[in-house]
Parts: sequence; C-alpha cells; structure tokens
Amino acid sequence: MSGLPRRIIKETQRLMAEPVAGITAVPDEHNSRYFHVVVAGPSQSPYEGGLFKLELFLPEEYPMSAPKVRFMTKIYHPNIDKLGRICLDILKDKWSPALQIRTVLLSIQALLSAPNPDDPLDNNVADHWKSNEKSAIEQARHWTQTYAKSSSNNL
Amino acid sequence: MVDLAREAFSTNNFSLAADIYERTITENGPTSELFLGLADSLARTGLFAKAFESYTNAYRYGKVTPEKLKHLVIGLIDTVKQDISNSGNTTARKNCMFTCGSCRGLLMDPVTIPCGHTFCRKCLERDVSKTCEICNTVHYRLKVRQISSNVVLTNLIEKWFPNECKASQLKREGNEYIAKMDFENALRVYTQAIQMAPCDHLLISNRCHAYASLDKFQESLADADLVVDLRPDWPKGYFRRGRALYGLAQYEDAAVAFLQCLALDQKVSSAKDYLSKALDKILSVLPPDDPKAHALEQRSNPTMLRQLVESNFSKKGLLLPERDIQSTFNDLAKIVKDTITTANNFSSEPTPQGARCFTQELIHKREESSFSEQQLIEGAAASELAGIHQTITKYNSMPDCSEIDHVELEQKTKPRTHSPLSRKRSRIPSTAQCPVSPSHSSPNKVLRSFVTTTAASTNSSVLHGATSTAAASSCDIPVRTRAKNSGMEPECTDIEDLECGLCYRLYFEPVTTPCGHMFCRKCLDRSLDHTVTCPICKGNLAEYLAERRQSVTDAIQLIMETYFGPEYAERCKTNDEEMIELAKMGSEQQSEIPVFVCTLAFPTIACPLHIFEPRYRLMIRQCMESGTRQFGMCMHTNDEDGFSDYGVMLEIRDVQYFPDGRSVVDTIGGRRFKVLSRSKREGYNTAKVEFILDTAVEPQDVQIVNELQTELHAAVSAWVGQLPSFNQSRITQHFGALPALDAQQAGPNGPKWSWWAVAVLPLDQRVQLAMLRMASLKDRLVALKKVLNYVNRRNSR
Repeated sequence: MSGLPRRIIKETQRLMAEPVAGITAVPDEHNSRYFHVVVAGPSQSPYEGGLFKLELFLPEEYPMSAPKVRFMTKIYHPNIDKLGRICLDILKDKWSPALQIRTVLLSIQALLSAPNPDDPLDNNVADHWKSNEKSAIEQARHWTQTYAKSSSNNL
Repeated sequence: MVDLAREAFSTNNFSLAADIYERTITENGPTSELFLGLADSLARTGLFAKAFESYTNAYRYGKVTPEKLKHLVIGLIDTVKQDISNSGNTTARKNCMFTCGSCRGLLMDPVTIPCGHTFCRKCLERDVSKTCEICNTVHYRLKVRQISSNVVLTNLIEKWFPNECKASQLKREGNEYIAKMDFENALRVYTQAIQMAPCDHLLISNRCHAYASLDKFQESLADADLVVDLRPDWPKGYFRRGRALYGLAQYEDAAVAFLQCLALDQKVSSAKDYLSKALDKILSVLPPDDPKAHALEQRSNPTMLRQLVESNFSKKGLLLPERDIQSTFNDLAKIVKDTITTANNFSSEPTPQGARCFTQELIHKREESSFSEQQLIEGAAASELAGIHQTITKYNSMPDCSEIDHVELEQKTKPRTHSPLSRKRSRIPSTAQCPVSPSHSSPNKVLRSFVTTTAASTNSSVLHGATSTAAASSCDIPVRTRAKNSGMEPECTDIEDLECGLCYRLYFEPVTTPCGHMFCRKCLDRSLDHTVTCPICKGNLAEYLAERRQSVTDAIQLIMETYFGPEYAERCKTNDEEMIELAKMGSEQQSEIPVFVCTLAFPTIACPLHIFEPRYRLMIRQCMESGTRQFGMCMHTNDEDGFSDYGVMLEIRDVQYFPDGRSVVDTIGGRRFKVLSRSKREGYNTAKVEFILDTAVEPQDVQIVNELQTELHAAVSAWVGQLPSFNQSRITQHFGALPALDAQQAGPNGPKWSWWAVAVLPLDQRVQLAMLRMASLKDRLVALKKVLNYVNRRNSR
C-alpha cells in the first residue's frame, strides 16, 4: 500500500491544531492509522472526573468504512460492553464518509452524556439502568472513580 | 395569377412569386395587397431595397397593419441571425463561473442540472423547454423543484460577492413592485441596488424597463445603452434599447436595435412584434387619412430602407442596389457575431472587451453619425494604449509570466497603489471589473480601472483580429489575467472552500448531487458503492446512481482553474499519477495486479462475474477507467494468505450495470500467474505476480503431443456425449461447446479445448490448480489423459 491518504494526514493535522474540548487523540508513532484517544467524562454525567482511554483505528477502506473504536478503560454504560465495544449507529450502518474522527469522538462523548438503555449492548447494565436508574448511575460513578482516575490510567 | 403567386410563396419559391406579383401589378394595376405580396417575396429573397419600395407602395395604396410585415421581419432576421450552434458562441458561454447561462447575471439560488451546467433557479423554472441553454442537452425528466441549490456555489457567491448578493435581494423586491405595477417604487429599489452592484446588467435592465413603463424614455435609453455596453451579447439589452427608442419615436434606430436583439435570439417574440411596429411606423410616416397623404402619393418617395440604412450604417450603403445593403446586413451580422464570441463571464473581463469591440466597430461604421462624447474618449484611450497592449499580448502568450503581466499592466497604466508581488496579491481584482463594490470605487480607482479596462479590451480585440476563431481568444486569456480581473476579495479565496469532503483534496471532476452537494466524481462513486445515499445529507441518490451520470460541474471546475490554477494543476497531476499507477497493473512481468478472490478461472475460457461487493465495484471501475481492463482471479483459501498461489488473468469484455450499481462483467481467461507476494489496495487484494507461459514443445515431442491431442479431444468429446442431455446443455450454456481441435499449436496459454476439458471435467480444484501451474503442454496432456482414464473407469463401474 502506498503512503497515507491525504485525508488522514489532514484530519490528524486538524485534530492537533484545533483539538476538541475534553478529547485528545494522538496518532501512534509506529502506525499513523492507530490513535490513542482520551475522552474526559462529561460534566453532569456519572462519568464526570474520569479520563477514559480509547483506541481508534482507521481501516484500509477508511473513510469508506467507519473507524474502529473501543474503550480501553472499563466503563459502566448500557451501550458499551465489557470488551469496550461501543454501540453507536454512526460506527455501524449510519456511517458516512463525510463523517470524520472528530465527529466520531464527539458522538462518543455525547453517548457518555446520554446513555441509551433502549438500544443496549450490555444487557445486564441496560436492565440495571432501566430497573433502577439511580443505582445504575451510582455504579457508573463508582466505576469511574475506580478505573478512570488519571493515576490508574498512567496518564 | 395571385393564387399562383401565393402558392409559389408558400412553397418558398420567393423569386418566382415576386415575378408573378410584378407581372400581375403591370397587368391588373396596383393594389396594396399585390404590392404587399411582392414586397414579402422580395424581402424573403433578401432584396430589401426593392422590398421596401414595394412596401412603401403597399402603404400608399391602402391600409397595412404591422402584423402584415411578418415576412419582412422574418426576412430581416434570416439575414442577421446567428447560428447558435456556432462554435464561438458555445465555447464562450461555457465559461460561466458565477454567471447564469440563461440570464447572464450573478447566479441567484444556483441549481446544477444533470449536464453539469448551472442556472438560477428562477431561470430554470421559467424555461419550459427543459433544454440546457449552454449545451443544448434536453433533460426530459428534469424537475427543478426536486433539485436542491448547489451548496458550494451558493456559499462561494455569498462569500465572494456580498454586495451583489444584497443587490440581488433588492432586485427581487423591485420585481415584486413591477408585478404590482408600482413602477415608482420599483425604480427606487432598483436604483438603490444599482449603487451596490453598478455592473449588474440585469438590475439596470430592470430599471430601464421601469423607466419605460413610466414613459421616461430618455432615462430608459440611457440605461439600455449601459446594459448593452456591459453585456453586448445579451439580446434583451437591445430589446430595451429598441423599446426606449420606440418610445422616443426614433423608429429607425429602434428597428435596428430590435434587429440586433433578434440577431442574437430569433425567438424573442416581443422584439418581433416591436420590430414590425417600428417598421410600420417607418413605412407609414403619415397616416393614410392624412390630407398630405394624397399629395405624397404623387411624389417620388425615397425608400425608407435607404433612410434606415443612412441613419444607422454607412453613407455608402444607401445609394447602391441590394448587394451593398446585403453586405451592410452582413456587416451587422458580423459585428453581432464578434460580440457574442467575446462573451462572457460575470467576473472575467470579456464584458468590457466585448463592449469595446462593438463600440469601435460602430465608430467605424457610423462615419457621420453622432456618437457620444464618451465613445470618443474611449476611442482615443484605446489608440493611446495601442503600444501597451503589445506588451500585454506578449506576456499573455506566456502563461508563466502572467504575474509579471499584471505588474506590467499596472505600471504602464497608472502608478501602483499596492505591491502586486506576493502571490496572494496577484489575485487582487483590478477593482474596475464588474462586479465592484461601491466602497472600492474611489474616483482615482475608477479612473485607473477605466484605463485598465480599455487596455484589456484593446488587447483582446487584437487577439480577435489575429485569431479568427473566437474560441481561441476567450480561452487564450491566461488564468491569472482572468483571476485578477474578478471583483472578489482576495482574502476570500480560501482553497478549503473547494475541497472535497471525502478526500480532503481540491475537487477533481466535481459532480453535484440532486441534493446540491459536491464531491469528486471518483469519491462519490466509491461512496455509492457502499450506500446509495448522499454522504453529507443522507439524501437518497438511487436515481442519480441509476442514471450513471458523469457530468462535471462546469462552474466549479472553471473557478478552480481560474483562481487556484497551480493547485488545480497539481491536483490533475496527482490524478494522472494515480491513473498511471493503476494502468501499470499487469502490464509488465513481475508487476502488481488487482486480485479478485472467488473461483478458479482458466485461460481462454469465459468467466462471467456478478459484481456486488463494494471493493470489487471499485476494482472493476478502476480497471475500466485506467484502461487495463484486466485483473487476476484466484481461488479462495482458508489459510492466512486468503487466496491461492496460482491464478489466471481475466480480461473484461463487457460490463453491464444494474440501476443499483451492481454489474455483470463478462470476462475471458488470459495468462496464468504465480503469486509472489500479497498486498491490499483500497480494500481489495493485490499481488505481485510472475506470469506463467507454456514452454515451446520440444521438436522430438511434437509428434507425441499431436497424437495425444487428437486422442484426448476425441475422448473428451465421447465423455461429454455420454452425459445426460440436461448436463450437456448446462455445460454448453456456461462454457460453450467443446472447442475444435486447432491444427495450429495454441500460443503461450495452451490450446483452448484442453482448458475447456479441465474446466468441465469433474475434477477436484486441487487437480485443476495443479494443471494451471504446468508450463509444459505435454505434461498437461499426460495429466489430462490420466484424469480421463480415471473418470471413465469410475463411470464404467
């Protein structure tokens, strides 16, 4: 495969030049298609104060196919499973090549602010959310404190 | 007799008709009707001097209504009309960036139609013919309301021409007043708008109309003249002028103006009506019931055409018979044609150059006519600058020096007010050209711009003289020269405005979707491989895809060429390199080829494929666009390699597309290859390969090989023959009948019938693969013999 497509170069440059508030995305030094991402838990969400590590990979067919994104930090969320996989329409069938890394990360940040237990990936978490939202939020907050504090992330 | 004449006339036998009418008049005595018939016949033959005489007689002997002058009008139009399909015209009109191809004004609510040309929404809605005015393509199924405005163009225009946009808003307001017959208010609003966009010919034309509607013909005429100067190729300008002159009772001038309008567009019916009215006025100077009319009858009356010609063309024209009048008309036709060909872009300079050309010609023509003082001055300026334009021409012929050209021009015409050295600066408009914001029009600048304009136009008329084809002149103007003449703000030229949202590069072959979004054609094609929606708005593009449209959005293409010349050239270069890269695939030994992983194919054997996966849609498209028309076919394997080590090149013979983008590709096997290494490209597999070619049969083996061939061909034939007829017909359907035993030894791919046998016989794919690898025909035949023996043995059991 010849060099990196101009689109990926430009996106990376723009991400560096104008970063999104609460999100950092840095390309891996050995693989320009692999990004180390950190998303800050949005305020007024159970994830507030947490720093969540994600990995983002741009497949060969990007932007014709969606980036592959996964949470590395454990998170208690109805749309994110134990392996960190994310249930988000724009990463699946609603992907459009006009979307970009920036919009994907913003959508993930928004997902943290607005969990959607009606379209769950992890049924246990979703059931918990639906049956006792208060307790589920408490649990999410607890996980945030336990797994997503900067010290445990080695940031 | 009269019936005979009419019949001759209706069968276009005009000179015969004229003869008969003439004889009838001498035999039966003069009547108005006969003279009219004679005049019509003469007019249609182009003998206008005689025709006018007859018309005058017709008026003398009876009442003639303007409608009766229909044939005179047709005859005149025939003489001056322009062939629209004429090269110069279309070439020039294709050069529309921010200009509507219909109204020639700044695009308002731009809509790009399937042929790739862009018009104002209003203009498209008004046109019921569904024919593109630029390329004449008929869009039978065009529904303007279902096409959204071109987003990129709209944004560019709003950004680059803020004042003109505001003026266009005001124009709408003014038009509403016109519709309500409130001409006073319309006048006020138009005037306000013209202050913002002093070069918008549509605004001036509308105000001209408002003046005329208020019977202020003098003001109307002034506006009409302005319009014609701005847009000499715009028929309506002449109509406006004619209308004003008609109002001022200057019927001869009016008739000429209407004729100019019709020369540019024969279909303007209101101009035809007014032309006949004006001619009527000329011919019937005095009403028939006027007491003087009788007296006049007795007097020899100078023909009116002579007056017409005298007052409008040269003094020579009138004194002589038809030929000269004819040539006068030809001259008129020529002027009009020259004028059209210089046209025309909203932001590039042809406007004034066209005007210039035209005025100059007119000055020559009207030796004694009273041209205005301003024209005199302009003429003088032009000759003073004659020296300069040579320099300009020189630099213009060297596109690389176009920036110097700019400097040169500035230096010679006027002390520089800014340094034009930086690249960005070189895009600065020379402020004078339309459209100009009023804020820029300090007197000094206006003066400078005036001179610049004159220089530019002189220059271009020189070009005109040198090259007979107008196309050449409008295309020869170097990119930068055009750019600097635009009225846009330099800081507005942001290349990111013209970047494709999919590849983040400058558009290459930009296409516009019905939802108004723009992408590189190849980017959109790729996106449509995956999903049939617009990447930006998710609008359904099924219909767009089914039409398999390829037309590039002209306006954007031209904007890029004009304002981002170097960047665009670079982009073209990149694309060329990509295409070369693709075209190289499979052309050399040990080269990289695209690989379709599906089945085993065999040399010389057809292999129809149904293409539906996005990556293979891309692959096939690239094979077709790059012209290689071939790819490798390998078998799927379950190991980590993913596909077999050996395969066959398939040559594409035909591609049939389904409306949804899938396709059936008809291919035939070619060379065999061995995979050396595997790779990927944009989602599909590629491989570096070494081609396998049959080694020549050793002389001592020729005999054996030939015998083997004869024996095995018969055996295969026998084997097929014993199959149930259902199986036989299926084989024939898919692979064709058993190929004949070719007397000549087949080429490096081996004899066709042997591959047919390998493909048809019930063999394990591993065996087939093994056969594919053999580069010796003899070995293959020996193997085939073993296989046949085995198959036959199994059958007999």
